[in-house]
Amino acid sequence: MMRRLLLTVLLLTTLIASLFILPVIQTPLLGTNLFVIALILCMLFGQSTIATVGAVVGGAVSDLLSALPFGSITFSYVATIVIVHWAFRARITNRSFPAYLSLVAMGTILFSISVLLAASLGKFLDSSMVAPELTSAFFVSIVSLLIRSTVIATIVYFLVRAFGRSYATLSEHEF
Amino acid sequence: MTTTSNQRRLLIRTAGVVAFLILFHYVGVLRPIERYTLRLLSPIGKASLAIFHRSGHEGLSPAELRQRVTMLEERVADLSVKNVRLEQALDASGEVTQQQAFLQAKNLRGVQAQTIARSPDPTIQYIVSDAGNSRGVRVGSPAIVQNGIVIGTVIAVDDESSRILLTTDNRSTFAAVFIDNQLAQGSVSGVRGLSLRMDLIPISETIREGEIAVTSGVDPNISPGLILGEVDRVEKQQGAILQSASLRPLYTASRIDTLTILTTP
Repeated sequence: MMRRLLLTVLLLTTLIASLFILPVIQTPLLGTNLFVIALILCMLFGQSTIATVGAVVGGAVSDLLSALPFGSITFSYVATIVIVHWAFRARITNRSFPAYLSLVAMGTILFSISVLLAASLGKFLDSSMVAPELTSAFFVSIVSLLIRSTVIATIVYFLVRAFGRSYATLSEHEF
Repeated sequence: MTTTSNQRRLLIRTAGVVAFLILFHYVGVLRPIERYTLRLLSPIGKASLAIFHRSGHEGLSPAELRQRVTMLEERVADLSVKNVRLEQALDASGEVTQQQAFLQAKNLRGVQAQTIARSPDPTIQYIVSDAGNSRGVRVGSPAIVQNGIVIGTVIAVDDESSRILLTTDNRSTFAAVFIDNQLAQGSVSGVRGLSLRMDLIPISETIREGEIAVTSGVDPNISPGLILGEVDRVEKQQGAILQSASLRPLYTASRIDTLTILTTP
């Protein structure tokens, strides 16, 4: 119960930070998808339902404040968490540090590509809409995003391990 | 019931919820919920801006700041001499008053708005304002700050909010002309969220650093005379029939708090 509450608070905090704080303070963290990292953490803590619901709600709120076609971000968060969850269960299957980093990297790339595809589809249907452009700058931004997300995810991982005993003791059946 | 079938069920339900969310949004069923959600989120956005608002001059030393202020003051004085009617209407005592004075001087109508969120994605430059359909904002309306400096155009609008694509975004384009030379017309577009570029300027026209580019009025819904930027560098190639200029925008994206969205062309 406490774990679910803490994870819900974590999701809310990262969502608010991503939408309202990071774009204002203009730091190198801008563009780092903290919310994706939080969703992956939720999933790794065995709360895939909270992660999925969080993806839907967080995506809907992000869509309200986005210039992209409505639904692009919701679809992207949900697709990312579903695919990452499948990869975790079917391929990676452990919660080691390299596994966690590879999931974060996969989630970051998947999210960026999903947003590009979903927004491009929306723009195809309504040309007045805005969508990311598939240029060299897009690929450069993904690489930059990967590096920053990896750094943030590393810090978060060790903080969670240092302060959260339950991460190490999670049993297999909780997934 | 196995875990796999539970997850499959969750996946199907989630896909259904997302599909209905998108469908209901475009049909309009979700409008009241969206409106109330935005009303709930607006104070958070405004509070964040109030707390974390910084000077737009990060990275400049005090000496560089003083130099820049002096240069800008000289430019403002120069523009005021050229536009006597605007200078008489101006009141330098605040952002809102400056915008209102500009509207009066130009006989335009607009709605005051505040920024509630900025783009979290650095590859797309936009802001979200708290003025929407209910206050007369329409897609294509230009948004200005200070004395008629255009910051972008409305690209999406809801009942109580609108998304404004900034002029520095790659997707922004404006038909433009120089304030001192009505024959030097061209097209201004954003460059990677940082600056502006004016292309298609006839080579026969002489462009100098420091000249001000304004909207020409060719674009629908965009009044002529709105300030786009200041020439930073002129680019000419030998034998070419057209030239380009890099423009410096006269606003700082991180400082956009109060703006006016024009409702008359």
